[in-house]
This record gives sequence, C-alpha cells and structure tokens, in this order.
Amino acid sequence: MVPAPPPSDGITLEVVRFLAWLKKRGASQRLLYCNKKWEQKGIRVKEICRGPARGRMRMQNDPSTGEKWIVLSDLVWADNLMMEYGEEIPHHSQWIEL
Amino acid sequence: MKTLFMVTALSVDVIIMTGGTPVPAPGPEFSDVPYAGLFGDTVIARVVEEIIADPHSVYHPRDLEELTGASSPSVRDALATLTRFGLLKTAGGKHPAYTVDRSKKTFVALTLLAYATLDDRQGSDCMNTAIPHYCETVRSSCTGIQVYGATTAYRISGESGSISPVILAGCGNAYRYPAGTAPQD
Repeated sequence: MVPAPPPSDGITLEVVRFLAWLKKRGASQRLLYCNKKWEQKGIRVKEICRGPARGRMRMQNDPSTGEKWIVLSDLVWADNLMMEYGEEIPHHSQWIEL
Repeated sequence: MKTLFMVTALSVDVIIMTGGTPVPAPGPEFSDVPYAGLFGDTVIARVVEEIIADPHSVYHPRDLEELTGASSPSVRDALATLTRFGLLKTAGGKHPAYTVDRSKKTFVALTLLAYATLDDRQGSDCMNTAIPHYCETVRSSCTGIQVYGATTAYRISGESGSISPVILAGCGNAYRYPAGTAPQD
C-alpha cells in the first residue's frame, strides 16, 4: 500500500477504495447495492455525491425500472485519486507504510 | 408501371464528435452483469468481479450470498474454485474467511480486464492509464527497495550449519530457511 496522502476535501482512503470499486464494476451500480456493501465501512454514498465527488459522481434513476443508480462520470478524476492512493492495481509489490 | 423501389426518409441521430468526446456506450448504461457479460451472468463471475473490485475486504460466504443474491451452495462452489486457482486464500475452519491473494498475476490481469470492459463500453482510457503506473510500481519494487527499509542484514543459516545467501530484511524480522532455498522476492 502506498502511504496515504493526508485527507483533503473529504477524500479518504476508504472513499478512494469505494471509487475504485465502483470503477471496476463498470462505473455504475445500484444505490441499494452500494449501500449494502459500503455503509458498514462508514461510506455514505449520497454524501460523497453531494460533497467531495460533486459534479463527478451522480445519482440517476434507471428509466426502465425506476431504481436509483450511482454513476461515476469523471473517470480521469477517479484514476488520479486511485494512483495517488495506490488503488489502481493494489498489488503486493507496492510500498507498505511502516 | 411497376414500382421497383421506394425511397423513404430515415431519421438518424448523430452526435458530433470532438477530440475528447467519448464513444457512446454500446450496451445498456444500467447493467450490473459482471465484465459486461463477457463470461455470462454466472455466480462465479459475480464473485470474481466483487473480489477484484474490492481486494481489501475479508469475505465470508454469507456476505457474498447477500451481495450476489446467489444461493449458499453456488457461492461455496465459486469460493472453492477460486481458492483452488490461488486467487483467494482461506482461513478459519468451520466459518471460513477469504482474502484476495494480490500477489497473483491473475489478480492483476482481472483488474485490467475490469478497466478494459469499461473502456470498450465507454471509450475511456482507464486500462492504458493503469498499465504504465503498474509497471512503474513493479519495477521500483524490483530494483533495490530493500535499501530503504533495511536496518540490519540477517544471515540465514540452514539446519546443517551451512550458510545460505544473506538476505536483507526490513522491520527487524529474521527468517530462517533451509540452506539454498531462501526466496529472492
């Protein structure tokens, strides 16, 4: 794991891990599913949409089912954060914070 | 007089493309089929997509049943298969917990595949961004990272008393290996 930079603008390691998860799952996922997985880790998806990811991640209704989905629209922003936090490909050879 | 053919007006929606305009997605935007349906919508594909997307969590069969909506036996089968392939490591006998083995190249390849399917659908460039970054981190780990963390050099000796190669270990941990089998990683 790359030493995490100091938290800024509400971006934490867990938030970046959530963004990485969302991106690797096709950059869109049901809000229900996001909450089911990430609420227990302290991630409030709606708050992230309104806060640090404002304008970059949005909540959208699926017109065919009416379900709420979370859509990550700014993939470049997510990429940069993931690289900064070592979450792009979190493999074993990365630096470990001692 | 016979009508040979008819000309009708067709309306075609056109998106004006500029340099940075992403290619429109061919598939449905709201789909949670793993890897855009490349391997079908199977339980094992769902489990693989989940563990690759979040390789830091500790997974219990019940969590995955809830997350994937799959039955207990099918999730157990999927977990057994992935453990057999070495992608998952398991601990705990009666109530097993699974972690992702991030040292496997399969893990890296599947992570890149996740980006590739996204790129092909959205016209993004995630995979090409990830590859050079991965190569940089792998290369730096192969070229003298021990220098930074090492405080003491430990001589690893075998049971016979013969001396095997000297290994530099960080964090003050000494490891004992049979002579000649000390790993270089």
